[in-house]
Amino acid sequence: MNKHTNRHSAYIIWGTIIGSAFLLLTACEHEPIFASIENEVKLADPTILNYIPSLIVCDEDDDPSTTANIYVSNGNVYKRTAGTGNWESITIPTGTRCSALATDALNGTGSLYGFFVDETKWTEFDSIKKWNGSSWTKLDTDAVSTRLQGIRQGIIMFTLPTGPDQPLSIQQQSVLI
Amino acid sequence: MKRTFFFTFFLIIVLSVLTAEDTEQPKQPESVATYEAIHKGDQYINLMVGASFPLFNIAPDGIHTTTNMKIGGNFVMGYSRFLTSRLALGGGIDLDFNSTLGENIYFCIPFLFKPTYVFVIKNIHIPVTMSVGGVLHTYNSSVYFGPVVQPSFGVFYQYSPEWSFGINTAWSLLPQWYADSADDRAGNILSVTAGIRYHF
Repeated sequence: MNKHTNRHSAYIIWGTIIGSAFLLLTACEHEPIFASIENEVKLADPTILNYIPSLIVCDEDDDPSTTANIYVSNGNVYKRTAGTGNWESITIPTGTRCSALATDALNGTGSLYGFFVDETKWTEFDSIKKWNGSSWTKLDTDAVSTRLQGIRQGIIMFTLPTGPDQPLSIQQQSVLI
Repeated sequence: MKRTFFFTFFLIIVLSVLTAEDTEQPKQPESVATYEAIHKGDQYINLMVGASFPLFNIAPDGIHTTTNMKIGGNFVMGYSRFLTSRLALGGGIDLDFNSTLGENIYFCIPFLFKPTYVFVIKNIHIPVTMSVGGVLHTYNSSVYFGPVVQPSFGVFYQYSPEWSFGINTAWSLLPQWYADSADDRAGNILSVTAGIRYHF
């Protein structure tokens, strides 16, 4: 091929690439951009700072007739009664930090459970406790847990394998309730 | 004898003067030099930095002056070549970003074809451009590729044959069309930039 033909081939290749990119981009389903920005609202100042690992809607008195509250944890635990008003702090067990919350019913009628770790070594498991509206009650388990998760009719905890030949990625689940 | 000597001396002087007067001095050829600030084939690249001001959106139900976009930044780079002493064709890429009321970022990259006419007043160049092209918009996870029309003009001082610097103002019309026509908008963003041009 001569130089002239090479140049034409380059034009055709680049034209195909650019044309394909254009068609690809214009063929995508787009969320409106300017219209969406027009609908934005100014963000309120955060009322709970730091990393929020859990946000739970549940009851605290085991009475399904009462209104559910919102609970969050960022190491401490806070409650917004009936989902409105200001956040109020809930006292947590001395020497601990709450790294996760869970509830045993996903419709807002469940109880609140906290996953507590040592206050100084945030990765060291302390206990899983249930909140009754005024105090925390430790669940009857001696297993060392790594995670707490709410399910439809209970909560599950993940525990580390005990055998030295088992890889750490394998976890056991225990239904506590 | 004395009289003959003075006559001869006088004759030599007169002949010398006459001979000298008849000798023509070579003349410089006449020439008319007209200064042209720009020549056909001249090229330049430009780099500009400035601010962009979202003005309003044109919607199916009228003009929306609340764009919820804040003043942002604008970068411009381009290349042009003069086809005549005043008309240049070129292209460029802009980068424009604006933060939004909801603390997100709107970002767009226009790819522009730039025909430019330059008015020249001594060392002052006034380029007037009507750019057209495509623009890539991004906002959160949304991406949209659409057309752009961008009239602009600037004022540049030709500091040296190679360098000029100045300011430029561009108005970008950025239409977006969607399946639901209620979401259609044409954004209008004004950018004011300052920068340099390198001529070669």
